[in-house]
Amino acid sequence: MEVRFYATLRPLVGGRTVAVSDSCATVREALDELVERFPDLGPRLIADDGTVRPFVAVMVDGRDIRHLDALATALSLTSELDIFPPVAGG
Amino acid sequence: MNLGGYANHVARVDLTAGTVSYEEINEADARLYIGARGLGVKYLLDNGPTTDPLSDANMLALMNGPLTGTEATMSGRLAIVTKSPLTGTVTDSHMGGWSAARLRWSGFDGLLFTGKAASPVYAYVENGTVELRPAADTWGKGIHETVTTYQSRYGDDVSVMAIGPAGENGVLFASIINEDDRAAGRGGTGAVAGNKNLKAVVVKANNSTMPRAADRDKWRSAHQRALKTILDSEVTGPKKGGLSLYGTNVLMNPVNALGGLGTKNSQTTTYEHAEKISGETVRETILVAEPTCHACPVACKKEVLITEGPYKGLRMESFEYEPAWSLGANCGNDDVGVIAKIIDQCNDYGMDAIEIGNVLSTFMEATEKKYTPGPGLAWGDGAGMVAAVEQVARREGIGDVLAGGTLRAATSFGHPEIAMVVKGQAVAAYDPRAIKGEGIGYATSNRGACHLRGYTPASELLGIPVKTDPLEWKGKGALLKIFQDLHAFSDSLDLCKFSAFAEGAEEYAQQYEAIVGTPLSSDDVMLAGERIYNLERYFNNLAGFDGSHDTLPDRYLKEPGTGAAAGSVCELDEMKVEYYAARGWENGVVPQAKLRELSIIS
Repeated sequence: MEVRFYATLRPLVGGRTVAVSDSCATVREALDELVERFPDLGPRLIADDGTVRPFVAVMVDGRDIRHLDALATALSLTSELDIFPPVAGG
Repeated sequence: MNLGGYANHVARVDLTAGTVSYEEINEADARLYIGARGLGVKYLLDNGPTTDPLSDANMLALMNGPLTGTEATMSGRLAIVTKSPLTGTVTDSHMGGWSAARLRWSGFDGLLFTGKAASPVYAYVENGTVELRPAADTWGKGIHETVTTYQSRYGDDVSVMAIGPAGENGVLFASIINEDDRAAGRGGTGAVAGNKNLKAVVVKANNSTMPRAADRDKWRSAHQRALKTILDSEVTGPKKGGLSLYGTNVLMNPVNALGGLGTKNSQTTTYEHAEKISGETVRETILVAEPTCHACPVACKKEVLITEGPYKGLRMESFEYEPAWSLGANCGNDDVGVIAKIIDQCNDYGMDAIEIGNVLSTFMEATEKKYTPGPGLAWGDGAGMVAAVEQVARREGIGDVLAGGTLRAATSFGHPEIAMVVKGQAVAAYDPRAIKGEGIGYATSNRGACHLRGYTPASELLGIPVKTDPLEWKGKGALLKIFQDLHAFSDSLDLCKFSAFAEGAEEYAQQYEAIVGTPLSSDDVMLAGERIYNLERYFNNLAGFDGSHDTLPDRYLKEPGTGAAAGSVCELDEMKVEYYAARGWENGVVPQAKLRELSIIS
């Protein structure tokens, strides 16, 4: 499964996409794998209490996981996972 | 007047008589309506809400707020307020850069233009005076040449707010644009200026006359707190925040991901080539400079240099999210060179880059469905788009039809239903089938479809002040009211709306209190914002608008979105009930009791 990164997160992972294991069954498992490979991602994505940091958008199939099952949101082989740092405009 | 912060000096310019008179600001009005947008609408209301927008009687008000041009962070804004020839509503459109600050430094809170000059003129503003001077040599010229002409004549420390051929030729969505390509883009302010034979406002001033806070001790504390929130924010923080690094166009990818990027005139809500026109791609490939406005550390403006294709060598500014969407995904066009070229055309001809993108996409859909005679315009035909924009500015050929704006063009094709408009003004880059707050926001905006009247995406995408689900309609009516009121206040200070990604009512209140020297709480901020929003609605009610005009194109109500918004339509009727209840309105009309409660009438 490929995870897509955007904006200020791209330099941290060296590109637009990073592949994670197909065995990742939840967003938490995918993020754990990503943070293990790219330790600088950890503090950018995860708060001290273990939840996704405020204003960071982790989307599964275009839905922010804060409106799904948070880090327990299930992934399938066809899931599209997008991760955005805090962004806004007008 | 006993309030600090204001120049307490407004010019009334009668273009018919060629006379200028000066007056102080009414203190009671300043307390109620603050300045810029709020005070400007009050002047417009007093001028008459039933005025024909393209008559001599319409007023064109260039208005600063009490924070404009001060040391306040992001305070380089002014409002141009008038009755819109595009919508028939009151409208206000704000520009950044340095023009607002220079107008304040020249000793003015505002310039109120009425009448019509017998021949083209420009207003020269310096040291608290306004003179009307002949503009025969710049009439017919583009804005860029007009700016160069006046800067050569008067020096580098002048700002030039001008119209181009679009305003002169009565394009109904013509803009007024300044020397930094910053636009009072929406609502047809440039058409009103053109109708008055007013080519430009030239302001000569420098920061040696920058106003000082009434309470310096309070100011230091208020300013430091507000600045810190901007610097620390992960959105606005200089050189680290998404807005600072990538500009507004950082939104292209996330809005597309959640199925909210209207594509091919909103026939779908996802665009497969969004990445190619995104802020990330622009930064990686064509970005050359990041200029700033007065007192702004964010530097969201992005200047680009096109390096290949027919527009190679074009260096331009204002590669923003809105035109990148309106001229990109919305037109099925993934060529950044074409987008840059047309934005630059808009900046030179003086027209709204959001409206022209919708005009073109409407023309393209009409072509696809064979609603138009002639060859029409195909999706993504970059050269054809550029040529059509030129025709619009000159009102030549099909351009004469398109110059009336999206709704009038679609109506002339016999199919008004393909116009993505509210009250005659075209929609922006957030599809309301995926971002429900923008649906009720577009519908109830007092100036026609607009994403900035109440920027609910701050909550629905980012989580400010709390994260709400963009696909959920419940609660969006009440949420929208909060954003509308907050923005009405900041637009009246006049601070950049992007300050709201870091600051809130408390920071605004503290800065106002220190500059103006009179107590103001965060509750007072929201109340003043509510009053200003109701004042606008009252104007529109008197001009003939009610709840029947608070609507959306059928496409958003009946045709589901795509991608993450698959199956979703916009539940407008449900949100309107909630919104009107929050407002205390009856079918879109402000009751007399509400007007009295807010001290709008006695």
